[in-house]
Amino acid sequence: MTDIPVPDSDISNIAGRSLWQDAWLRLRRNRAAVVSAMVLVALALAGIFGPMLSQHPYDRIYPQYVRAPASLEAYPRADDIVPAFERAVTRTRVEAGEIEVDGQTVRVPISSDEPIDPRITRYIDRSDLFFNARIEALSADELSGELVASVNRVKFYFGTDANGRDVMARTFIGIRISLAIGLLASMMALVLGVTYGALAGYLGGRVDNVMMRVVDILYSLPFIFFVILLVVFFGRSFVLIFIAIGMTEWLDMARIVRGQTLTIKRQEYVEAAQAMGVSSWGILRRHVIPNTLGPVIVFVTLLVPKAILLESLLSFLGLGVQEPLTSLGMLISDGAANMRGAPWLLIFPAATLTAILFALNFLGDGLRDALDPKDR
Amino acid sequence: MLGYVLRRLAGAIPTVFIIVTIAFFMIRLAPGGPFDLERPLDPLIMENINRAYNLDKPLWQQYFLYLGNLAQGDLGPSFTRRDFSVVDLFRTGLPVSIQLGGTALAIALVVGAFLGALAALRQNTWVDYMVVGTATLGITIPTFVIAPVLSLFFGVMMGWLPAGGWGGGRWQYLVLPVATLALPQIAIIARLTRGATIEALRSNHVRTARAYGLPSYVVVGVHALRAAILPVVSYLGPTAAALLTGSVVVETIFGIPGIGRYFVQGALGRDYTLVMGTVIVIAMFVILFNLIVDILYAVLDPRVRYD
Repeated sequence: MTDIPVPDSDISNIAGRSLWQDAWLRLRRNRAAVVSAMVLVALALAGIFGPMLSQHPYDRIYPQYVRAPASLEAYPRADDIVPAFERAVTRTRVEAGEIEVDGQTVRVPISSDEPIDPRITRYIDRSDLFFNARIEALSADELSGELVASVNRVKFYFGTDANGRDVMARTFIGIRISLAIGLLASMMALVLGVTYGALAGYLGGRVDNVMMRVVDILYSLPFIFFVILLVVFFGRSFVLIFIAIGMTEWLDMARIVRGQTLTIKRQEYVEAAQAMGVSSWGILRRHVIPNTLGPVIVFVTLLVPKAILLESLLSFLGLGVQEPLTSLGMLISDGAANMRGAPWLLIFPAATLTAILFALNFLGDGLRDALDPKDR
Repeated sequence: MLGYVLRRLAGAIPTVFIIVTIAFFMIRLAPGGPFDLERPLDPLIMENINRAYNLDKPLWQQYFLYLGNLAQGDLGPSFTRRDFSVVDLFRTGLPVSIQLGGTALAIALVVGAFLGALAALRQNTWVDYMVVGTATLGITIPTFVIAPVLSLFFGVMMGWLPAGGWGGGRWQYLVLPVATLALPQIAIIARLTRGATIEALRSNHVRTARAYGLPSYVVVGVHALRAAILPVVSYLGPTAAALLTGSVVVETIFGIPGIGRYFVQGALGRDYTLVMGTVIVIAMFVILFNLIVDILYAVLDPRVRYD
């Protein structure tokens, strides 16, 4: 065995493909994975920019539009404008004549025994249906005039919920929260699991035994109960939820990384590094952990939907984030409670969550096929 | 075999004991108590209530009192459901959960194994793709989406079935919750069976059976499926325990009076005894079904011996 490298021009001229380039090529050929990735990017963009671009803030309540059905047309409906304006005008306690609707504006002649107080326009502005109320053509004695208001055209593509909040804006914020918790919890599981697993595998022997026994014991605890107890103890908050989920999901990761590490640490390059006096931590960081990344990435893509699902389940049980903030699980729970009269409350969040879970699962499967060297 | 079963059952006692201990101290260390109201009770009344439920004693004393009662099969009174003992609650709720979960389990096993075997025998045909595709769907969509959507469609929009309720366990009331519970399990069992059957069909003993000239239904039905069902059996252990002890999602959405809701409700209301009771019942189911799985293994796979 001679280890002197022979320079070979033929070989060195062929451009090699790294593991990652190879995986990328194979992933691109998988149509389901590509479509899933695009769907995910679109949903993530909706989660990030949707709440900013949306016509309505997610926590804005429209008392006059409670459970408005989902519709592409603008509210208020033409038939609703006159009665609503009439109701608002009655509150001003002035004599009102015939109401006239003219495109975007409503006008009504008004008269009173006392001078008209210009502040009555506030009664009109208070309604969700009108804005920019003003008094025009006020007579010199201030006893008669014309009350004019603009119709506030708003659109609820996904309808509104039982409190009169826009479901589309809430779905966007729900996507944001669900994706954020899914990603953060997976990152937490990733860091914990990779560090723990790599340490246990690399140190080996008795330390490994003890560390893995701890994992076995944690495995046997019913984890959904553990999470529920945690949330019950420390209250409901965004941070606690992703920490609790991360704490429950790192065990598989630790096992996978340990298994990988056991094979990697017998490789020649690790021995070489040891012979050169590189510290254990240095070897772990430079040689062991980077080489475990393939299976780890695959596992993370499958972990994200799991975390999202767990978060949604907690929210569904009423243990998730606090109102008025929301997540997809909470929206689905709301929808399930209101589905008799307002099915759109259930349909849109449920479809969104299903799309996210589907896309993540297909992408995970695609990545596994692309990165798993055994599958070639 | 009997000796093995007895040894396993004896080994379960310390496991249950550890679970009881952890659960007892965890729930007791939680802030708040079962009788905390928005407006605090009169201190004198509070003192009387605490004395009535032994909550005034030191924690370790309460723990041993609880263990003593537990040894006699007494799970204590429920703190939030007045006039009901925890045993009463389980006596009425457990049969409901078992009926529901048992039906779902039986359907999932039969349909899932059939579909999985069918897909394996017709590998890489449209039947196979249909089964695998549907199974992916069934695994991805969570129960708390399936349940309200089924209820909305068949119960509210079509009006074919009751949207919720128990109705004394009549079949109309069972259909939707059983379907909700069974669908994801059918998907998982079909996938497991498909993979194991494909492997079994390539194995030596199936090839030998074919070489003997046995009819193909015997080769598949007896020799291949017997080997293929093993991973399903080991999956079924924890699943059966989970299904029979009730699903909180299904019971909440369909308004079913089972025991699945007790843990969450008990934990939120600090109903100490109810939480403990649920933990113990679930732990016993898990242990029991793991034992059944191990016994089934010995029956199905002659290489496994426990003596």
